Amino acid sequence: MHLNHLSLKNYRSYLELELLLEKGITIFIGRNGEGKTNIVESILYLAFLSSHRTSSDQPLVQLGNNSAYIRGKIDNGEREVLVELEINTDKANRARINQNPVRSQKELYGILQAIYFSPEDLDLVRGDPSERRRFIDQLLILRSPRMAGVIADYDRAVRQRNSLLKTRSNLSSLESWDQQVATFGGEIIAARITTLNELMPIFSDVYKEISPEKRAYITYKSSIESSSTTPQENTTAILEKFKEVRNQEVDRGLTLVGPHRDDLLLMLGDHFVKGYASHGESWSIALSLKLASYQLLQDDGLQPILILDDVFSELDEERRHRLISLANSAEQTFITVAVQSDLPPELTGKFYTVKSGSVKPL
Amino acid sequence: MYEGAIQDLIDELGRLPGIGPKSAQRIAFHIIQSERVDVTRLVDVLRTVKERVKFCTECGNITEEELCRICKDPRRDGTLICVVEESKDVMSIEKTREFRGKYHVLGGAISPIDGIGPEQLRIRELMVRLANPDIAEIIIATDPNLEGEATASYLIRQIRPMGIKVSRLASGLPVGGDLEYADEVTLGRAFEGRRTVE
Repeated sequence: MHLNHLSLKNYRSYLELELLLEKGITIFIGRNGEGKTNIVESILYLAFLSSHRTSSDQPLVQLGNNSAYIRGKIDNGEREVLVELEINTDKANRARINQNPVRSQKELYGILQAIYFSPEDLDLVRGDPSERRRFIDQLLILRSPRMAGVIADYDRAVRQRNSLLKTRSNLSSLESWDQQVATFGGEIIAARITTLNELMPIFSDVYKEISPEKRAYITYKSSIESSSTTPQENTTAILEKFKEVRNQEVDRGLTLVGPHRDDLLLMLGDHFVKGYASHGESWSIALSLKLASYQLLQDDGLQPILILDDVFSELDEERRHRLISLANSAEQTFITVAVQSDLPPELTGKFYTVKSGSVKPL
Repeated sequence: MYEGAIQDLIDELGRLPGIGPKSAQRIAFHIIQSERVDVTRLVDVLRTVKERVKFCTECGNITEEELCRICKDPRRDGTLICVVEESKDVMSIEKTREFRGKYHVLGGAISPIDGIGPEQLRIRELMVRLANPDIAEIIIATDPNLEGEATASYLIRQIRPMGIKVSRLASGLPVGGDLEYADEVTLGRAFEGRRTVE
């Protein structure tokens, strides 16, 4: 798939931006703070309905406005789809598909698929478990947009259950929430493990090519003892575990079992990557995760848009070449870079300069 | 900020559901420019509605008397009770003319975030009604969302030991719709709730 047209209004540094885009590689060159990442961020927002740089929508909307607009025309190989998103600071976001308003912005999931590489990817290795959960959940949504609804329902059921636990008073309705949390949670754990089982061999192979000395692999660390690829089994296991930890949960007013407590354990040889791997190895792991997820989607028959945001300055020659060969194989790639000399000289594509909120062809 | 009475009006209107600050301001200025009789009429109906309308002592539906129209009607089948969240759900089901039993209005759904538990709903009153041995079936018609499902599963847990038949409204494909346009969740539900053709 590829994006034909992107237009922004009141989005971050852009009062108005209209970009006609093409298949192949597009490169945005600009110094830090000039607004090149804002462009790719808006494309990612259409894919994930959240930014990879901030958890709140407030910074996306230009100061003094209540709404920002992102419009993208997507060619998915069969037809063109126009998606429009209104990001509001004071009310729920609104979306339209081919000019028709949709009930919820969630209906946008699956229309645009993208995989991004950015300096923040290092957090996948070094950051909290929440970073790795976000990574796997985004991958689930890309593969099966329905999962976005399951994850949203799960999060809300957990919030409801936590509220009930915090009241410490009448827990007669706790079982109803146990059931909901366990049903959605069981499905999420099963989907995560299924995807992980497919991702793992690709990930190990990719890492081996980058750095052949040690074997890299991933295991799923769950808050239930025997997590499986069968939703029903996980649901039963969650319900069992709830009985066990009931007192702790009431004491702390928190749901202590379920996919929101799980983690992906990244392993290098016999060691946990976190706290063990060198800076270079950490980068290789992060890069391999992203490269593997791109390949997994390709194996699914998808052609996600590839985004390489400010990553070239972080990488050595060999890793740069890996990304460039991936970019050449993708239907459409967007690259942002501060200075042209960070780019491999053989890279060809359409170049733009980004300076104080305006974008010009080079 | 406006001064005195006008700002008070805007603040009060802004507390109504679905009305934001901009709409509140617009309605306030509309009221200021309206004829006195029109405003008086609005004030009167607001006062009357608050004085006269109360909740049916039997089912919790809105009524102007002790019992609501449906509870009073001898032609209605008293062995069937349909449990709904709000009075407006009664209206929706009544429009179908498919249901000839009686209702029970809970007054909401279980939602701990909003401080609503079973005690805040008219569940105790429902249990009292179920003590009547003539009751044959309870139909649970709470909303098909997270809170509605939690309420339904709570009710099912409470009612089942009493040996009364409990059913839940089917959820699935809309009539007159196209299969290809149904979202995955709805379609998944429809699969789950599929029926064997006799």
